This record gives sequence, C-alpha cells and structure tokens, in this order.
Amino acid sequence: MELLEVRGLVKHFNGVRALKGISFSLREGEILGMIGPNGAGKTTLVNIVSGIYRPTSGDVFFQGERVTGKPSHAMARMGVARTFQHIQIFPEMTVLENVMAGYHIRGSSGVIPCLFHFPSVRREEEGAVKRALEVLDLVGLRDKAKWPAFALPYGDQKKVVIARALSGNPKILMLDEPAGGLNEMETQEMGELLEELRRLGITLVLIEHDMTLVMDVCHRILVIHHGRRIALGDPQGVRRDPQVIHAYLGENV
Amino acid sequence: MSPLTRDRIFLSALGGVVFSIPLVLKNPYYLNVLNIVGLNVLVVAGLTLLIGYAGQISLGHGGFYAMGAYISALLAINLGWSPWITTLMAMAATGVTALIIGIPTLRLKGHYLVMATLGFNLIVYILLVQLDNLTGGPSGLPGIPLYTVAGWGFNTDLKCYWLIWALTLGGLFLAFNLVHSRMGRALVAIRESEVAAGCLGIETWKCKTQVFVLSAVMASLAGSLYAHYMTFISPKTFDIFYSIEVVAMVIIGGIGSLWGALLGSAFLTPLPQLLHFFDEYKDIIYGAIFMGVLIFSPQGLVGGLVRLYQKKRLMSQFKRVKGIKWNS
Repeated sequence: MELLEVRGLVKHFNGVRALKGISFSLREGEILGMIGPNGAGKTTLVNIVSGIYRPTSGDVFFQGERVTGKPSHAMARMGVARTFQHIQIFPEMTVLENVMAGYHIRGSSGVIPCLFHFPSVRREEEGAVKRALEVLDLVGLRDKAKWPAFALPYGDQKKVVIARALSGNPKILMLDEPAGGLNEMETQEMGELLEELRRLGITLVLIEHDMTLVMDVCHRILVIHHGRRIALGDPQGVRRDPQVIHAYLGENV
Repeated sequence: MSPLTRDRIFLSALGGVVFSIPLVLKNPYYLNVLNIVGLNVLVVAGLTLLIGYAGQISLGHGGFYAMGAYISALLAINLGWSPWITTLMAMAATGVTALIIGIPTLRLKGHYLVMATLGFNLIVYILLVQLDNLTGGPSGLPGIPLYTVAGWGFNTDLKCYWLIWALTLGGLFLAFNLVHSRMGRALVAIRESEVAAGCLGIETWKCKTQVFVLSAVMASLAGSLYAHYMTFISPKTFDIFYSIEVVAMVIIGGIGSLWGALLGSAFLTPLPQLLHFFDEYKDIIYGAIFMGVLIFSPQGLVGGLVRLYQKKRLMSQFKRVKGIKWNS
C-alpha cells in the first residue's frame, strides 16, 4: 500500500527554483533513500512533506488523503515524524524529557487538567515515561536518561532526536542526514540503529550522504539533482545509472 | 523520585517556613514587605512560565496587574459586590484581554509580543491617569473594601499574610504541576526550537497563547489581592517600571525555574528598602548588584546553583563510567 504520494511538487523561494516538479511514492514498510548533491532540494522536499513549507504547486497525499499545505503539527498528528539536519535537540531538557516531548501527540490533556494534575494526567505521564524508556532502550541510551541533553556527545544527541521522533509511534519517519557530522565509529553505530529500524518494519525516508550506509539499508533510492528527480529504483540500478554518475562525478567520466 | 515529587517536597518545606515566619516576626512593616514579596512571586511565577518556559517576553504585566487591581476595586466600590466575586471577574476580564493581545501577536514569528504588551501597558497607564472621574486619576483610588469571610475582615497585615501566601503557594503548586506535564514539556520545546516543537505535533501558537493568558490571569489575581489588601491604589504602582521590575525578578532569580521566581522576588522586592541606607548611592549599588549576579551567574541565582549541581553529578557519572581519578 502506498503510504505517501508526492505529485509534481514545485517550490520557489523568491525566484530560486528549489524543486522543479518532483513525484514519488513511499510504500508501507520500505526504506527510501534520498540522495543528491548539496543544494539538490532534498531537505526542501522533506520540509514540504512535514508541513514546514507550503509548496508553490503540486500535491502531497498521505494514506490517500490530500494533505498539501497542512501545518507541521497536523502532519505530526497524522503520523509523519522527522529529524533535522541540525538536530534541533532541546538542550536544556534531560534526555528523558526530550523523548517524552515526542510523546505529545499520544497525549491529550490540555492546560487546565495539567494545572490540576488530574488522574488522567498522571496516567498519561506514566505512559509517556514508559514509552520514552522503551525507545531509549532501542537507541541504547537508557542509562543516560537523566542527563541534560546538551552534555551528550554529538552522536548520542543524534540518537536522542531519533528516539524523540519515534516515541510518538509515527507511520513515517524522515531522517535528514542522521550520520552527518559523525565519526566513523558513530556512523557504524547509526548504521546498526537503522538496520534495527528496518527489522522493526518502520517506514523510513533517509537523506544521507554516506553512500555505504544508504546502499546497505535502503530498499529503493530516489536521486534528486537541481530540484528534479533523475533516478528512482533499487540501489544496484541507481548505482549504475548514467545520469546519477554524471550528477555526482561531472562531465568527463 | 520524579521531578514533580521533588518540587512538591520543596514546596511543602517552603510552606512550613512561610507559615512559621509570623510566629517570630510580628512587626507589621516586615509583614507588609513579605506580603508584597508574595504578590510579586505570584506575578513572577506566571511570568516565568511565559518567559522562562515558553520563551515569550512580555513587558506589559504591570498592565495586567493594574487590571486586576482597578477592575476588582471599582466593581467592589461602585456596585458593592463582594471582593471575592469582583476578583474573579477581574481575572476573567484580564484573561480575555490577554487573549485579544495574544491571538494575533503570537501567531507571528519574532518578538511582536514585547511591542504589543509594552504598548498595552502604556495605554492602561494613560487610561488610569486620564479617566479620573472613574479611577481617581493620578491621586489614586481610596476606600477599597477588604476581603471578608462571614463578617470577619482581612484587616491586618498578618491576616492578609495568610491569605496572600496561601494563594501564592497555591499558584506555585499549580505552576509546578503544569511544568512537569505534557503541556510544560511543550512550552520548553517551543522555547528551545519552535520548528522542532511543531514537527512533534505541538500547536505552538495555541500553547503560547494559553500560557500568556495564564500568566496574565495570575498577575490579575495578584493585583486584586493588592488592591483589597492596601485599600488604596494609584497608577504609579502599575507603570511600565513595574513590568520591567518583574521581568528583572524572572532573570535574576533564574530564568526557566519556578524557584527562581521565588528567589528573584524575595531578593529584589526588599532590595530598594535595604539600600535606603546608602542614600543617593542606592541606585548605583542596586545596578551593581544586578550586574554582579548576571556576570557571575548568568542563569540567575537558581540557575547558577542548578548548573553547579549538574556539573557535580556529571563529574561523578564520568568517574563511575570511566573509572578515572580526578585530582583537581
């Protein structure tokens, strides 16, 4: 079943044409790699799907429903989660609180119940803690749950934001360069985490520059260049695609 | 122990201290100072939720404080209604006003709330001075009725001390509940990264507006308590300098901590009186103390202590994890 479908997405920023009509679809349970040179429009695409930008034209469908231009909180509520290239961790919160913040969509108590700490709020808190510890187990950071997030090494912070995105039980998780800025060992650990997510059957969109990582975990790969889709297919096919080779290595290869 | 339990234990301890103070301290002047501290804690606690937690700055809480005082006082004087009822009515009116200011300004990105609230406070001040038929103008509004329970009036500093501090501690209790809940985390998430908060499903403008209204209502309650305690109010109490003073209390006490609200109010409220001793140098010394705190502990009084504690804890964690001996 197609979980997400993007049709002819165009995005202009004051005359700069970042996306020039991108279409693709995402199947349930698959890991779709999204690669392309810097400035190709990958992050812009993720920003549109997650509701941060409105597209200039084109449409986004989620589970068959048109969701173009919905705000980011509405997209999150429907089950579209993401991480950011510049991690956007909440530095002053503890690791546990960061991940609990990701549980927001699973809760429902408003300001008044929270002020008076109704029994429903207490149950919700217990649920949030339980779920947060579960996903911290998954990313291997349970023993650092009480740490302030700013005190963690960069590699761990990247895992925290993945845990934060996972704790709301999303239907799609979009990861924007999860291995960006990591050293070799941390990248390897991230690869293991992505493998784990693959085993769990979580639908992923993965923007990444580390080719080994992309080739290893992704079912299909979408290649974007200058705001256009130049290839979409399994890793082997994409690797041999002349247009892809051209985009990455230039004219004379 | 969960953070909420920890804060509740501290709050009970504070309650014990607060309610044993009058056993030793009988001087009405000191009780009056402590009452003003209590009212400021209420305002500053609300403001801490807004500034420290949600990261939205208001320079107009003097205006909300004024609305609480004047609306409640005028209704009680002119219509003869019970001050308890008029206090609630003032809170409702202030909440609606804050909603009207908050809805348009908090939808925008950037510091529009500062400008809007600053303007609001100036307007309130001008109205209080100019509508002298109603408000008594610059010379103030005397003869405000006291709070009474079954014919028993809150007519001394000591009786008002119980009332004010009971409500202040109650306000702190609710505020602690809020910060250690789903909505509290949402507020901090908004402060730390609004984009990321949105992508976690947090309706950022709605949360910001709600906490803004809440903080305004808390200021309004403090204003009403002030009016029916002092029985006389004048516009000078509610000018822009009050708004700046309470923001200073948030910052000096420790932005992002409700305990900072308490410490900041307790530290800055009596400071001008304490410095009277220095005559014309008092402003310089006031400023120097202010700068000293910000230079040596930029996170405020509570923030500095928390950082120290966190550092110590991290050090002990490192020691445990790595088995390293730290000599220095």
